[in-house]
Amino acid sequence: MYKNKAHLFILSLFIIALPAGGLLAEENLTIDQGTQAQNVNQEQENKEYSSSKHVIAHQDLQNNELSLNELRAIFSLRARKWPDGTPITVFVLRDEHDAHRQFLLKTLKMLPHQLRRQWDRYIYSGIGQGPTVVESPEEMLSRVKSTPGGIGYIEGGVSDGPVHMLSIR
Amino acid sequence: MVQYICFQSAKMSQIMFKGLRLLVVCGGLIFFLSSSQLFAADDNTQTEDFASQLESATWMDEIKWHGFVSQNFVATDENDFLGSSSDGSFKSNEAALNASWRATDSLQFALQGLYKQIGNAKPKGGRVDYAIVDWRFLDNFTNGAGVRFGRIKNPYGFFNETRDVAATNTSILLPESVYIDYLSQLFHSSDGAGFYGHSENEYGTFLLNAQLGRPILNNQIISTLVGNPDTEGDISDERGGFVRLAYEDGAGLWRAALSYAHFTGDFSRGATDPAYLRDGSLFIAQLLLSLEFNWNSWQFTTEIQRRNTELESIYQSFSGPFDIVEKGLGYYFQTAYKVTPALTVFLRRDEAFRYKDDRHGHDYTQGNSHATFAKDTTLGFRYSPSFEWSFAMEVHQIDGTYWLPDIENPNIADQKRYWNMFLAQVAYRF
Repeated sequence: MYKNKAHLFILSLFIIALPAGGLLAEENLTIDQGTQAQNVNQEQENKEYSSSKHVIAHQDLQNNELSLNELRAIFSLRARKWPDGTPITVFVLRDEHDAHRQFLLKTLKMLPHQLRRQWDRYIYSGIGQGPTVVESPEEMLSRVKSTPGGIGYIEGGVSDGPVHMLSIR
Repeated sequence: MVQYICFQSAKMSQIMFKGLRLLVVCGGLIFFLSSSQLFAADDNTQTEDFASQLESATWMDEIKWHGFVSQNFVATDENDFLGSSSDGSFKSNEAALNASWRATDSLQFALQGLYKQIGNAKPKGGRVDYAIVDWRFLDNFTNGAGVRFGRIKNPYGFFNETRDVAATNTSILLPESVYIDYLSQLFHSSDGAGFYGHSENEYGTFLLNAQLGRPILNNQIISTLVGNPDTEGDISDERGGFVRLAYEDGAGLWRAALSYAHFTGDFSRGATDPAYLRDGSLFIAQLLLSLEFNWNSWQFTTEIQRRNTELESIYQSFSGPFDIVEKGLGYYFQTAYKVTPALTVFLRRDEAFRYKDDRHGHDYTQGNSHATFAKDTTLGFRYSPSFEWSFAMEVHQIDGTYWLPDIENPNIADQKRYWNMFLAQVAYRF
């Protein structure tokens, strides 16, 4: 008796899950390319993206470059101070924003859901604070510009901006 | 008579103390709420000029606000879980609001109020989930360390600290072998002090958490611990300790953690307790190994727990007091696949045994032998179209009643060995 009911449950689950998956198939394609970027074999493709600078910081910052590990520590919110003692303020776009995903996958080389998990621990277990979320690249630029110790990212960087460009070694 | 008065006054002062504590915290929350516009930060970022906002910023504006709400629906074909689920139950939900303020570079205050309903388990209503003063004394690009005081979430395994935030879990119910819902409060947070630190290397990060404190108990947890739903007894001198050492790969491809938890307390029987209960002490020790691998859209998670429970002289027979020792085992394997970044499907096998050396309770004489184990196969999905919204559904096929709560199924003889459960969840956070 119980087995029949279980089958009904499982069936109902799939009836709901499958159309949802189908509806999102288009999004799926773009993500496949994104996740491929984690693959070590895809480094060739990454170089093109990495050749331009994407990380921006407040004008007063002394550093010109950061290591990948340092950048990860900053965006994972573990490192909270610049070497000169200025507190770090991390600006990010919303999780769903394509520029955000590209930055995480290609510059930070991190799985987006893993970084989100770390942020959630800070936000909801009282052991820190989350990053400051901005709504658009324009807002990103203006917030980083006006916040001492601020760090963020702009796809392709800015050429004559009033912000500091950081290269990742 | 004198004893009775002492007992009553002690109990009353305890109740008053608890009430006072709640009042102070509620007052604090209301003060926070009324003195800073709750959603000011959100509105400003969208509409106002940032430069002018920064100039006029006060410390109130620096407070960051977050919260979450979730509502579950539970249906079972046999047995009851999280309310009267055999008729369909909505008695599983939670809501929380938190505020954090970084007063200086190294000093942070954080407070969260939580309302949570776990079926018919007590207490219902709100409570302080955490209230933390955090002082970080080491802070550079490679190392960080600090201390925390107050009501702190216990570091245990991968999911304990964020278990209430629906969107942070793949499944609706965390694997019960490790994260028993009806004992969640005992392991959730404690009042005390803790140390934390991390160290970066070329490939990843080591993290260490250690803390000592007083766990938060209530009648329902006490009766679960003692294994007797009728007890009116109390536990005093309770102490809890937690240590977790973790390593996380820099790219988030894998992580591992080893956690240890221990709990001790002295039990004193209530005036109306059955005669076979007496004053004694209890001891719980848990060791948990956690592993997770991520590859492209796949995620594999497993956690294995050993749990020792000792009830010293809490029970007595005609020949005198005796000890009860349980050496338990629990583990799960979970495979999750991200169909899209928003849609995750998962399959999990979760097994828990009260006696690791007698997995099917052949030697168990105090009730149903299937009350000594539970084997749960779960299939489900979570759809999170945005940071804020999350929807999930899952089905469980369960063999055994180990973690089936007696409080929902008081007639133990009626508990069925084979049962199925369906859960659905709507969750919002900000």
